[in-house]
Amino acid sequence: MDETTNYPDGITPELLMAYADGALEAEDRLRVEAALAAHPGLAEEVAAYQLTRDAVGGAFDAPMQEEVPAHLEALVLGSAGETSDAQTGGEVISLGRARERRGWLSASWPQAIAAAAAFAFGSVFGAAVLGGTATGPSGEDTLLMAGKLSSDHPIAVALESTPSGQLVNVDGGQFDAIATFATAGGAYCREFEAAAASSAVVGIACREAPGWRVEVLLAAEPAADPQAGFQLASGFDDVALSAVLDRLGVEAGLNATDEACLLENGFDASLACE
Amino acid sequence: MADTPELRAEIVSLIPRLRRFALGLTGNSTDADDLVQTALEKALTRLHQFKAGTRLDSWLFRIVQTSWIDNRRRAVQREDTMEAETIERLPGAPIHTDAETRMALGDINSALASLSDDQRVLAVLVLVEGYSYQEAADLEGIPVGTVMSRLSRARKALANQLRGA
Repeated sequence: MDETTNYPDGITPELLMAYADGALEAEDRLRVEAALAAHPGLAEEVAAYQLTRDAVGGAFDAPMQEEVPAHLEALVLGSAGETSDAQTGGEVISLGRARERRGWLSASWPQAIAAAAAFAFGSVFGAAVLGGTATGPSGEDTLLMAGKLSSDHPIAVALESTPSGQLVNVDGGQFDAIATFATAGGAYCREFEAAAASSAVVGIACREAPGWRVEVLLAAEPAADPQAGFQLASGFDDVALSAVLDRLGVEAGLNATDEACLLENGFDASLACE
Repeated sequence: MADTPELRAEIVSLIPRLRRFALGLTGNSTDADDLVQTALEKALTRLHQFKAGTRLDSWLFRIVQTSWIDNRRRAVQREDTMEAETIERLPGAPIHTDAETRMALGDINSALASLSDDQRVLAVLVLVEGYSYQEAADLEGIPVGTVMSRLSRARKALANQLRGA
């Protein structure tokens, strides 16, 4: 139906739309029904209006089932605090908040596998290029991928020496360790963030002398507020990180004193600190 | 109206609908939440302009709408926001389940994207938010007849797009 459609007397597109929407009073409704009976071609236009209602009607309802994102709620209520532990698939999750929420609760593997499968959809997931030829001392880009890092890899060097919470430059990119953990098996692992101009990742790496092994790497994006650190890319939550920590048998994070001791001794726990 | 805790609580209770409205306008959840955040920031600076006894949801929708159109005018929104990758990452990508009219959200977004901004706003208000023609007219400050003629044209165009999808 287009502008050239001939409508019977008194019938308009607006009237047909209102009929399709059930928005007519009895008198007009009967008038449209009479016209439809006499001009079957009009039914196509009514069907078109119904199609749009059916198709678009519930298509965007996802937010109605989700909790209000905490940052939006806090924005309105004017509190910077944790007013909600809202967890939605769509919001960009602040890692700081995610970490707090994560605690050391267990996450089930099936969730982690689902999350891991999702990474494959994105082109940048699972690898990050840090730095550039201009600033990198190596003269080459630093590629970070899940798996073994040799002890002279810039990220391995950073993992080996950077206290948690301290931002350092690595080959033109930035690195910061979030926390250090001891595993049930006596190994040490660290959660870290790394960012370059075009990409950012959050990962967990474990000491595997003489280097490190990156156990998991998730794409992240710089937070709008630089102070807030990075955020996991939209659509992901921290289940995968939790699951990896579970798998590694991580029970608790190290305090700053114990971490300092490990950094000082090259992660050799057999050496004592003063 | 005075800025009261009750008013702010009521705004929070409307956030799910603001997000749905914004999702209908932008087509992806990242842009939608950015838009809602921008709109809420604006709304909070002008709470005194909200008239008690009028509809808070319409007042907020209006701010979301003008923020969205501002963004579009500045042309900062990338044309590729509808890319399949984005759609796939939508939380629980809602897909209409009516077997007769089952279609992917991507198709619905593409069809909506073919509308003018004014048409899209009306389509989302009426089809997604369930506004009556008169309520939409009140929100937009235009005659109800204008709403109906714009909307019927928009929906014919939408149907053509959806059928061709």
